[in-house]
Amino acid sequence: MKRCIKIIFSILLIVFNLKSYGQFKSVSIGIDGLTCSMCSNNVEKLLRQLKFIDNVAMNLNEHTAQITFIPNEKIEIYKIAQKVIDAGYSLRFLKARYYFNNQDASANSTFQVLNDSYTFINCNKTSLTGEHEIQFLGKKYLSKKEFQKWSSLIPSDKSKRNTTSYYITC
Amino acid sequence: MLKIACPLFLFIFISSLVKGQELFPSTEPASTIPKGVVGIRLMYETYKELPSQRAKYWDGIRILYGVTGKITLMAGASASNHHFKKFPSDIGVYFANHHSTFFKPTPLAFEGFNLNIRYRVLSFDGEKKHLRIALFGEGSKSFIPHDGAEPNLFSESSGIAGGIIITQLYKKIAGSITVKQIYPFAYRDRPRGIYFQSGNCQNYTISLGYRIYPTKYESYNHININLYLEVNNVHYEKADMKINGANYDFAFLEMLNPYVYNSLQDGKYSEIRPAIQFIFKSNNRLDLGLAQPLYKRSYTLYYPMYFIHFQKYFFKKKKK
Repeated sequence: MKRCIKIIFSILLIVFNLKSYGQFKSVSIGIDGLTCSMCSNNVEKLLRQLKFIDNVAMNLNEHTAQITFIPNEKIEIYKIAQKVIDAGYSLRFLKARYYFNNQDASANSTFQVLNDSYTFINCNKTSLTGEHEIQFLGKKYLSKKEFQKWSSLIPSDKSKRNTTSYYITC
Repeated sequence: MLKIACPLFLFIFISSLVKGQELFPSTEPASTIPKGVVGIRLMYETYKELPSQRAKYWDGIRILYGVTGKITLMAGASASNHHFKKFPSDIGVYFANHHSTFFKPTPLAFEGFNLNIRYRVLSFDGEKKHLRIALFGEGSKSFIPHDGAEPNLFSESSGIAGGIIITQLYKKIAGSITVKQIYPFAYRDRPRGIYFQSGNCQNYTISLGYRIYPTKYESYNHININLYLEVNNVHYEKADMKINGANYDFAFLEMLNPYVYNSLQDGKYSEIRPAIQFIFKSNNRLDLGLAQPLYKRSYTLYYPMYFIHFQKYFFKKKKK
């Protein structure tokens, strides 16, 4: 009986996880400090090392990139920001297309995807349904100037081991 | 009037086409290489030694590694036909004649190793621009007897060096200033009681870089063509030599061979290093350039000195 419960629980967990993984559709990033195609190539090559990334389409003149994901892989947004930093540059913005299912978007409302928590800050909608764009807030996800505008609204990072806390706006 | 207007118009026209580029051939920018990336740089320099009419060459290899996004480690080694493996037995005859056909240096002598670490301490990034400051330290171990007052840590002289790099990149302008202080160690041939100490040295290099093609990127496969102008300003102290503890006097060279005499005295000079750079597939970098004196000269080489560098990065593949 115990074994049967374990199997059912595992199947439910897998189904839940697959659904959660699938909710991120794509990410667009703006990169500061870039001016050459060799530098853009460095950023792209580092981003492609992430196992959940399927494709990186870099705009060499605007220094932005469209990132798409491999289905059913866990998407770890902080790793995208970290790869840009590791390449020697910084993010100007990080925006994601995300599929919501009647999600409360009022200030400080939080939702979980696997172990990660996402908290809404200053969203102009009370609830979200369907595909919407969300912008990630934080030192790693914004230019210094833009971060200063948001810094009073973003609590200090409470990420623990194996969990990540993200602050987002829509 | 026309004489002034034409070059001015040409300068404004060219300026409107170019963009800044900071991949300087003769100095490093304050920017570092990406974390986990390995790079290889092959370097070749050549000039004609005028008294002997010999072609002198220098080969260097440098392995670059991005320890973190802010720290770059470079390890290098070099070989050349500039030196003997040891000072010849008659030191006086050697100094008076080593640029002539009378002495033949070792065809390809291994010079030594060089280690360089660069830490980017400050970054002010913006859209298509950045201002960066890096500190660097350098150390080298040389196995050959360098015979000039001006030290060169890659890799004619053993020693240490440190400095600061400030790089500004703003659309059309890429400029960098490198300030470096070198403390060379003495070369010692203990069995023969020979001690040779090059002088401490300060370098100030101003580098400018422009991308002339493409004016607008369309793909990684576009060949990039960049132009660079670097001005290297060097100031060094005189050399000191002892044999069996007694000072060796180079005064006899003043009349006999003023070039060699000057190479052992303190000095300062500025040289200009124009270069053209081609980047293929946004990764393979080829630099072609030369060095010419602007003010006085370096006595470690004969001008013009031509150089070719090739550099490539290797990236880790995705973990399966």
